[in-house]
Amino acid sequence: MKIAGCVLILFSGLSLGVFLKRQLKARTEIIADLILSLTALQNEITFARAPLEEAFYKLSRIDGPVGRFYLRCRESMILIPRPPVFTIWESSLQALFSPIVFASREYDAMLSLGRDLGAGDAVAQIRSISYAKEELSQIMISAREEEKKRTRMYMGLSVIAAAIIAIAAL
Amino acid sequence: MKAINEKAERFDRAADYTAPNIRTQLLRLSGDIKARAYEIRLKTGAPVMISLDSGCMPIGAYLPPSAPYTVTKEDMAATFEFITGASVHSVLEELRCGFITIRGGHRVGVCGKVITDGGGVLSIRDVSSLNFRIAREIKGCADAVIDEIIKDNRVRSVIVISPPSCGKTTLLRDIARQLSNGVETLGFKGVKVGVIDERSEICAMYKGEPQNDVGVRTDVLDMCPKSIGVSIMLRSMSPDVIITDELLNEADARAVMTAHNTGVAVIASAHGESVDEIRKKPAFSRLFDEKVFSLAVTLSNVPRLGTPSVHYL
Repeated sequence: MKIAGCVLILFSGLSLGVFLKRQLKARTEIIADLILSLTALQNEITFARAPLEEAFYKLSRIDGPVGRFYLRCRESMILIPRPPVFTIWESSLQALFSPIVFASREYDAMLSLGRDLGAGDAVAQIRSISYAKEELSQIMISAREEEKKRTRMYMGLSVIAAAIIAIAAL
Repeated sequence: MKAINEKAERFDRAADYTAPNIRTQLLRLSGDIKARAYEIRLKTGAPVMISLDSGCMPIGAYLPPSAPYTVTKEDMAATFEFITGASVHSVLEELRCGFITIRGGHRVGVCGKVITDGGGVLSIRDVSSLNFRIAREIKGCADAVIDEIIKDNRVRSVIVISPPSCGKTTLLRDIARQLSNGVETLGFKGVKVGVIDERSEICAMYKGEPQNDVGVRTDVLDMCPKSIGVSIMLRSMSPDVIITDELLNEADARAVMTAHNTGVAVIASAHGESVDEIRKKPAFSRLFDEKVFSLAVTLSNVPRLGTPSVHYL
């Protein structure tokens, strides 16, 4: 019975480690999707001259949270009267980033892009998007390093903690 | 009563595109004022102005006593964002012409710092004034002239002449609708109508959809210069009638001649006080010499706005 309990504790520790690892991986995946989506947004503005509402609709087809973020933006954009685009962008960002740990840097980069979106002509918007992409790419590099480092640490700590509890229980 | 409600509703839909503080003020206006208003004028640092037939007055004149509301820079920026859909890049062509069409067919005139590239307008920024022109679609306003335009089941070429703001475009729109849908009382079944809407005023296209009823057999070339549009329309849509707004110069007159020479009836408008005034303009004299138009319709404000008179040419 005791052994079964210990196995359960060890399994729980391992699961916790896997959960934290997934959270870190989700962060890098979201950043990668955001970078891709910004490239697509740039193309929509440059080549299709699409209004933001239309561009957001196309970007909402991206799988996962980034697609849901653009869908939320689009749904608010078509309201008449509607809130200012920055308010829409900010509230959608908050919904996107709420479940993710250590996301403040990419949140800030995207938030500052929201301040410029819709405020200027195509050239100004493209410049702002490029800047945000560059910033996200930098964040991506450090996020990947962090992911590697922390994954090992979280996995190790979870298993060790579980082992200690299991030994103490024995 | 229904007509007043419809017009007031149109006013409210235009007001939806203004900044929240301004919108609150506009929605407080009475239904009667909303129905009579044809412009909402916004200017940074000035009160919101409402244009009625009786004149252009600050909004405070039509509201219960309250502190007058002055338009701020922030209000202007927010309103500009709403009318452009936060996408200046997608409405640049319209903006270069000085206006933007919003849902409902309302046109918003824009003034600000004009960015030029040599001769052409690149964009307008630091917007200082916005003028919402409330769309007025008056179905049936062409009833008084339609039986003159359609004779023996054929459409005659017509020039509509009036000073600004007398209803030329409103009349053209209703003529387009009636010619396109047919006129039961005249036993007229309807013909293919091509509208060259150079300033997007007749049909008020918004994202490819006419915001005004211009009829089931009507094809629209939006924001297209007449000189190019007539040839495109003739080649691509084989219209029986071409309708276009505001003949201005020699090039426009040549476009009308092109249509006339192919046997298509042309219905167009021009700014002027009388038929003689238009006839004497060098750019248009040839149209009269060659008898392109069979009829002229002049519009006046007496006894009320848009009263038509028919002249045989």
